[in-house]
Amino acid sequence: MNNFSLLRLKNVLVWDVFSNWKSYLRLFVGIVLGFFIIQLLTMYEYMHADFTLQIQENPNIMEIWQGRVMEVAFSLSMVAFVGYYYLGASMILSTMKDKQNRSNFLLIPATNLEKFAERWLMCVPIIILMCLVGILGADLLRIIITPLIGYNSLPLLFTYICKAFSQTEIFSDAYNFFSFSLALCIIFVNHALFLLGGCIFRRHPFISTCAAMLVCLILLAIADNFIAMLDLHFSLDHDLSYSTLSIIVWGVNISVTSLLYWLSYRIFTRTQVIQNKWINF
Amino acid sequence: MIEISNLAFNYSGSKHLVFKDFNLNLAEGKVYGLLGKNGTGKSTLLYLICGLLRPKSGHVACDNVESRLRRPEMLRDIFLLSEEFSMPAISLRRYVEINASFYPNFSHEILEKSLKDFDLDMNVNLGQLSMGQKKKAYISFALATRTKYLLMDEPTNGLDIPSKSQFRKVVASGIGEEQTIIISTHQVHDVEMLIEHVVMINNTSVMVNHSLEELCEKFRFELRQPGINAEDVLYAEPSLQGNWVVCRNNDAEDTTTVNLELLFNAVNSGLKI
Repeated sequence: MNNFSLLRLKNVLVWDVFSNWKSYLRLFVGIVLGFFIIQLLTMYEYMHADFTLQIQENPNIMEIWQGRVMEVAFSLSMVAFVGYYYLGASMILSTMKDKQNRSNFLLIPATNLEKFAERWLMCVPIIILMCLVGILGADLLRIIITPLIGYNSLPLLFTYICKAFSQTEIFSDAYNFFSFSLALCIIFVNHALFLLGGCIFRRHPFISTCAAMLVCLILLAIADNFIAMLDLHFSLDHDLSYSTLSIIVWGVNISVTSLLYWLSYRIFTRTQVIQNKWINF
Repeated sequence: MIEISNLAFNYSGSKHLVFKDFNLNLAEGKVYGLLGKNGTGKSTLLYLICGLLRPKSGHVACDNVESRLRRPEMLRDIFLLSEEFSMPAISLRRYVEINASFYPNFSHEILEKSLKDFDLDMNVNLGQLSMGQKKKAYISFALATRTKYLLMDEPTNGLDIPSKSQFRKVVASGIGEEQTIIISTHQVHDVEMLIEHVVMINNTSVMVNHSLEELCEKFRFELRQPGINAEDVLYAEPSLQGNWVVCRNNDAEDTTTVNLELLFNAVNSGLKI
C-alpha cells in the first residue's frame, strides 16, 4: 500500500475539520480579536482626535498622521502574524491532547505521514490563511464600528499591507536579498523549532517551547562567554559576497529546518495513546 | 490472526512491567472474552494490538503486519471500541459520512439495524446525547465498520439494564462469521452469551485459553448443598442458596453452562485448567 495517498489525506482533513471545528472556530475568533485589538490600540488616538484646528495649520496633517498610524499598525500586525505562525506550529498535536482524542486520531486508517501532513496543513497554511482573513475581518469590524461611535475612519490595513509587499525591493540588489534570506531563515528555523516543541511538549507547548528556547539561548550565551574567556581566535573570510552569503544562509536554513521537521515526524510516529510523562518520549 | 510473541511492555515513567515475556495467538472468526484482574493489562493489550502503544520488546502483529507501525491496511481492519471515548458535537449522519470512508466494508444496513434496536436515529446530534446513548451510537458504528478485528474494552459500561440486553442482541446480530471480536470486561454476565472462547491473563502468562465448549467438557459448574459430593469439587464458593462449585466433568454428554465468574475466581485461586 502507498505510503502517501492524496485521497486518504483529504479524508483525514475532512475528519479533522468536522471533529475539531469548535477548536478551529475558537482559534479563528481569537486571531480576529487579536488583530482587532492591535488596530484599536494603534489607531485609537487618530480615530478620536479632533483635526479641526490642526488642518488650518497643515492641510495634509490627516494624511501624514494616517500614514504613521498605518505603519505602526502594519508593524505590530506583522509581529502578531509571526506570533500566530509560531503558535500554529506549536499546535501540531493540539488535536491529540487527551487519551480519547489521541486514540481517535491515531486509529484513523491512514499512514503516519498522511496524518502528520494533515496536521501540518492545518497548522501552517491554514493558520496563515486564518491570519490573512483575520486581518481583513478585524479591518471590517473596525470600519463597521468606528462610524457608529462617531470616530474618524481609517482605510483598510489589509490593502496597506498588500501595497507594502508589492512595493518591496527584495530582489533589487544582493544585500536586500541577503537580508530577506536571513530574516526568512530565522523565521523558518524558529517555526520548525516550535513545530518540534509542539511534538515534544504535551502541555502548553508554546510556552514550554519559548522557555526551552530561552534556556538554550542562555546556555549558548554562557558557552560564547566561555569561548571568549579562552581567548580563541577564529578567522572568517570577510570577503564573501552577499550572493554567496545568501546561498550559505539558504543552505543552513533548508538543512536545519529539514532536520527539525524530520525529528518532529519521528516523535509523531512514536506517539503513544497513554503518556504519563510531560514530554512525548 | 493476531500474534503476540515475547511481549514486554511498561508505561513510560514507570519501571513496572505490565507484560513480561507474554505470548498469545488469537485465531480468526471467534468471539473472545478477555478476562483478568485489575491491572493485569487487558486494556493495555488491546491498545498494543491496535498499535496505540508500542512494545518495549517482542512483537504484536495483525495478519503479519507489526501493529506499532500503524499501517493503514492494518488500521482499516481494526476498530477499537474504547471504554472512554469522545464523539464530536455533530449529527450522527455527518459522523458516519466522515468516518465510514475509512472502512471499505462499512455496512449502512447494519448501522441502521443496530440504531433501530437501540432506539436511535441517524439525525440525532451527538453533542446532545447522554453518555449511554452516545455509547449506543458508538457501538452501532463499530459494528457497521465490519472490520476483521473488533476490540471492545468494557463495552457495557455506561449502559443501563435494558440496554445491556439490547447490546447482546445488537452484537449477536451484527457480527459476521469472518470477524474476530475481543471483549475485555469485568462484567462477565453481560457478555456471557456472546463469548465463544475465554482468555484469562495475568502479567506474564495466559492462564486460560480455551473455548467454552472445551471448558464445558472438562468442568461442571453447579450449585450444591454443603457436604454433598464434596470429594470431586475443585473450587467452591459459598452463596445464600448453597455452594457454587467447579468440579471435573466425567460425563461428556451431560454438560453445564460455564459460569465465567466462578471460573475466573477458581483460576485466580489456583485452579489449573
